[in-house]
Amino acid sequence: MESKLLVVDDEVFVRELLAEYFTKLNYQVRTAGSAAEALQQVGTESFHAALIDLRMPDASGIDVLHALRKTADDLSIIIMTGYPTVDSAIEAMRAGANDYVVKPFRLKELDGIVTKAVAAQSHRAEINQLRERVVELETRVAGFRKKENREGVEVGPRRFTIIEKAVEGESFQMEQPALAGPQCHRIREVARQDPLYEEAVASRREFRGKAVSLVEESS
Amino acid sequence: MDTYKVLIVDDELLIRDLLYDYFLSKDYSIMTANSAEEAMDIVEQHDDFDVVLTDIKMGGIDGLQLVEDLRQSHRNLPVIVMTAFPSVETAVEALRKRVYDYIVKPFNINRLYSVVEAAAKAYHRDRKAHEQEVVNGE
Repeated sequence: MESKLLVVDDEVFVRELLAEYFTKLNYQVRTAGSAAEALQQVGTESFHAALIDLRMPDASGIDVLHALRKTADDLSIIIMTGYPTVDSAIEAMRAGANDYVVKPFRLKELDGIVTKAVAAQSHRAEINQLRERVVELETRVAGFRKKENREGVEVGPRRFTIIEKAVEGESFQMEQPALAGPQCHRIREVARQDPLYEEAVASRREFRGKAVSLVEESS
Repeated sequence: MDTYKVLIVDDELLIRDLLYDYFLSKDYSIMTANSAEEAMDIVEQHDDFDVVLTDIKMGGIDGLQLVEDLRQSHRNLPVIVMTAFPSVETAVEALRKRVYDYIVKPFNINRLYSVVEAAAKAYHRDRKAHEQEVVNGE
């Protein structure tokens, strides 16, 4: 699958240069000439990575970065600037930029940075999917429980075991064959670096807590 | 309430003492190192730090190299770097090494505390959850 890249710069020359270069490298490239246009593009289609100029007439690249972190939190974002400062580099770091590139840059170097950013986006997207799966499983367990309550049937140990096995069998690590072995380990490592991991751990803990309370109720 | 453990790395005694006293007043468990080399020795012996706070410019190994060395054994341990000599190059290097934050000296101690607290709290919770997973045999 082609990786999708958004290039955001108010300078036509930079947009065209980067679009041509990354298209040759088999990226699917879209361009935006302003912050507003970039936000609109991200609102209508998904991207793996975005290269965003720091200084644009309608808003700064950091403003765009903040806005995108709210709507497309797994998107990898690389800030580009011809006017680097310590403050903007720190601001980019705190806002969650994947990289900060100083113009003029070597295209080969930028290619390496974009490749890493795309890989990071894939990991984050996968983690987000896993998190959604945990939430879905929790909902299903809650559904089982509601049904039992409504029917007034006590959840017996054997029946609970069946439910538990069904849930465990579908647990996010086991169901995804692509995540088995070393890759699973790698994703877990990447996940641990991500703020979303805390939420995933919390969901999982809550899920286990619910499972334990079901066991206690049924015994 | 959880007690967080911080490692303070700076070759200036004055800074180490200042930070030691301040974080002690906030009920932190603290260890200090006057070099990156000493910091690595301490981390090898004490595996329970929640956050590392290090100066960048030190004699011997610098703070950014310390981040890289720590990543080999403690991939997710949050590291906050401090410097009185900020530059775009070190800020970008810090970003790429995924440091938790980059603090310019002289700093506002309350601002530093809020950054350290946020980093320690998140990592501590993650570490405890992971330990629980191990206990549960996951």
